[in-house]
Amino acid sequence: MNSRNWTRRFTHLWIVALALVITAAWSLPSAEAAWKPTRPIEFVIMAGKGGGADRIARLMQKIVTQNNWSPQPLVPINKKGGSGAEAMLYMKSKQGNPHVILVTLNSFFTTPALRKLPVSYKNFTPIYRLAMDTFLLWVNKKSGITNVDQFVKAVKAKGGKWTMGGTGKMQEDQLVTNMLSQAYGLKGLITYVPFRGGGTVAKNLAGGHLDSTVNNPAEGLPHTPNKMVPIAALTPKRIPAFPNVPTFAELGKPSLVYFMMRSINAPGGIPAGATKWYSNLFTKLCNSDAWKTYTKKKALNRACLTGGPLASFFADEDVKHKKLLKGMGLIK
Amino acid sequence: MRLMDRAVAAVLFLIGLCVAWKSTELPIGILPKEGPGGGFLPFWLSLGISLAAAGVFVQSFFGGSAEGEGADAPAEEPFISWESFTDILRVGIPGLIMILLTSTISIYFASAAFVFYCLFYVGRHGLKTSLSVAVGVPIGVFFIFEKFLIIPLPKGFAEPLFYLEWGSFF
Amino acid sequence: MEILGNLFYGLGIALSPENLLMALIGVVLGVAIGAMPGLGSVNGVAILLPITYAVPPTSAIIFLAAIYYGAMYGGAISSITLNIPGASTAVATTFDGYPLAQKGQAADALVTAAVASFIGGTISIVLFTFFAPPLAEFALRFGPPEEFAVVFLAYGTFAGLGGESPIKTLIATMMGLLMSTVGTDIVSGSPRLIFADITGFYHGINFLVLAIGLYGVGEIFYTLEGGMQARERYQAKMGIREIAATIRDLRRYTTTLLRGSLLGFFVGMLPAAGATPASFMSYSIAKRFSKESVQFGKGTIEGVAAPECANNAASTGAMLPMLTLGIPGSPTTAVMLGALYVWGLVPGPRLFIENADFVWGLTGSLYIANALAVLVALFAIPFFIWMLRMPMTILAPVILVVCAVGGFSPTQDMFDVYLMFFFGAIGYFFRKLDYPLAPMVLALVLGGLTERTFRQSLIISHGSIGIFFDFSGHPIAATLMWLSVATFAVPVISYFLGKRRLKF
Repeated sequence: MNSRNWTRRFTHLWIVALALVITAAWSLPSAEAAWKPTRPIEFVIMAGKGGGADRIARLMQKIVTQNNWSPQPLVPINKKGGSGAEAMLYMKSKQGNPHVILVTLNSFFTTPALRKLPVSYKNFTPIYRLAMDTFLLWVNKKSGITNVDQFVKAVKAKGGKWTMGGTGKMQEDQLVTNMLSQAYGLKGLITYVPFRGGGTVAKNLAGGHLDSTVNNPAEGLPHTPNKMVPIAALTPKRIPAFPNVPTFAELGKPSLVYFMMRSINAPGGIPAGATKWYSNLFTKLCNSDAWKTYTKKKALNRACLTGGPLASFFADEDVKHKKLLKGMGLIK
Repeated sequence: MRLMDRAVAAVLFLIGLCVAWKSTELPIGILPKEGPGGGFLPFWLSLGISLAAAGVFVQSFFGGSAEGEGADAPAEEPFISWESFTDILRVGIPGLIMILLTSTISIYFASAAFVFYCLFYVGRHGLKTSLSVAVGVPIGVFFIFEKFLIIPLPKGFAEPLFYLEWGSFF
Repeated sequence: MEILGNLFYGLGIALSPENLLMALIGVVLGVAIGAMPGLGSVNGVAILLPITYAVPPTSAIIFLAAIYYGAMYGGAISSITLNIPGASTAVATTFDGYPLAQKGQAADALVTAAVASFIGGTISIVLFTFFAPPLAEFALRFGPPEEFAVVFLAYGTFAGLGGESPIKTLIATMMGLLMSTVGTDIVSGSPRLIFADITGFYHGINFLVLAIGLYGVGEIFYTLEGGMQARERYQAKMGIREIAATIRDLRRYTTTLLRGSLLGFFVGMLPAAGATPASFMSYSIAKRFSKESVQFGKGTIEGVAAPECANNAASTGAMLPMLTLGIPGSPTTAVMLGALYVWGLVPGPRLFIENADFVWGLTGSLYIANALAVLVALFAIPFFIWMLRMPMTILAPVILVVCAVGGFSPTQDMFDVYLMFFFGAIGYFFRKLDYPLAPMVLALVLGGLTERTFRQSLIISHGSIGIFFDFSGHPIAATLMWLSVATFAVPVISYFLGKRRLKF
């Protein structure tokens, strides 16, 4: 009995020793040399194929591949379920894995709060912010509306039947709609109609099926200026692509500012070397000509940010979004 | 045949009720100014399935005519013979095991084992054929999916194995 | 004619050696990817997108369009030979393609599929060339109520897909619709039917998982019943003479082909509808009007020709709103639209003026890719026939492995593979008990769109159902709605008038 116990303990010892040697052998080189990806990098996208986030991710893949910036391929993976819930829970299960990164939108803050998910922005390692997408208020050209005063009048005249299209429910577009109706006292007068994608929303406005939208510039551009027109921008300064469109701040509503971020996050607990490697990669990307041209064409704000400032930016955004959702009575 | 028809109808009936109950998490009524709520469609669909399944169940007692089988169809043809059933299980269960093991031992090992088993034990092919197909399939899958299309497949504990290879050969 | 000049210019671009090579490679890859269960044209285009980064946009879009066409042909191949639809667009092709293969006429079915696709594609491209801008105007007039009316019309064609028992057809349809509600409720944004908090339900039930499960895995179970050794695979013969004879035979179905192609083009052009409903509609209309309608489902050439010409026509039609309006007509064009942005092009009417090279190069390449695809598909047929001659004991396990990989790839979620296996069991039981499978699959494809457009319309109309029948406000929707009511009513009325032979 005793001797068997001893043998068993002895075997255990051997296994432990072996494991130690293997781990040491495995971790030694990575500790000495600078971190570099050794496997294909999973590039998780919290939207379906063909959506806005998907496009951005595939563009980044293009730029990185063309310039040979990564020794391993970036592999886009779409996890579109539950407005980002699926992607965020997936990332959480990859805690500590430096070969997975996530392209995030503002649902990075809203979805965990609305769904009461066991995950939040704090479970991630902030890597980079590449751009801030802007919002404009659009109307159909045929409506004849050219400024916000006319817009407010028209909404009131319709007695609650004014429609505003947007992507999804309780996401960016509806938050913006809500900010608008609060600022102009239009509560209960605007009916929000959720659609699946920004392109569809714009098309429905262009076709006259909706009264207004808060599309991003890129979504509205194909139909401008013959079908739909922007009447005001939700930015602090005028958008260069629309020099004649006033901002809400100019119209006396400085609180009407909203952006959609395009940023990159890695799972929590990854090696510091990996954070640095990714940060360098996306710094190169954000300052590349390809990215500059793209952001200009799509009227995006190129907004490169990393490190500590990015972390505090995330914290601010989280507070801001919780406040917005609370204002709508969606969370407590 | 009849018996299985009834059993499946009964299962569908229960599934319908379960899903209907689950649908009530969202409003199942018609909301003012908005039309049907989020639970409306799944709720009534699953109730409809239950109802129709009950119909199938009842119908099975009244001859074959309503079923379209014709009155002269043998009433008690068995759903499946015992031999056929074992034939299915002999591949079905290993298939299931392969799928369940995929995330732990990698699709490559799981599929190799499954293919070898099917060819050698079920299909009674020679050892050479069985082995070559069993090795060929995962290798083919690897090169088509992992290498050419760059779709990562589940590798389980075998993961480090693949990345040693990534670095040293390609 | 200015358009003709532009077209020749475009053909010139497409025929330059490097673009021709891109098209050829694209078509070959497309056929291979389309034939693999699980990887349809959407995944094909998305996965191979990085390859295009190295070349100029015009060559790149030619490459993607070639993959798109190739995959549409490839999907038909696995539908016919294995009863596994490679993509949703090829489901209707299984109805008659697989029975034909079982009768030893796989080659005929494959040739028919290739030629019918070519005809559908060509008619569609011609329409695209000459009428793109005015048709885009027309597509803009489709809002939620109009889209709902189109889908509603598609339901009228379900009648043709049912089995012997109406009640079982109803159950199958309702199950498909129910599955389409899993995931997220688009209107309220809340999670819906997430059983046991499994994350796998969040992205909803993927169409491919159901189709590969029901058809692919279920088919294998069904085949196993006889014991794997017992089953002798049929012999299929194949040669130039057979191909020529089949093509000559197709002339009998000119009306079916023409109707299917036109239908496909228009349905494909409407945003969100896409090629799948088009192929189903074409199949059931062909069945209803055919002289040999009893043969449908038992293996008739016409039953392969009808869906195949429609789905290829629709895939071209779907490019129209993508280029002219920036809205995708199908999931695949959604990815291509993404590519457009990546290359720095902005779709819309201005694209036709500012990037004429691109637009006309693409148009020209559509003709070329279509012709190349039919050639590649015809050359590939002997290979697939050879594959079919393999003994079941080798084929069955290999197919199961490929199904598992195919089920995993699109979502990268093992849960989908488990679900697929489960659907395989359902498919087996349902087939044995005469529950029809096709309505379930089609209902899953259409379900989300139906619910979404219906509820969006009602939100716009503040809950009034009258929006669908209002001739002054929504003339297109109202016309389509009454048309579908008539489609539903005709078989019912004729049934009660005693014409019982008219099956529905």
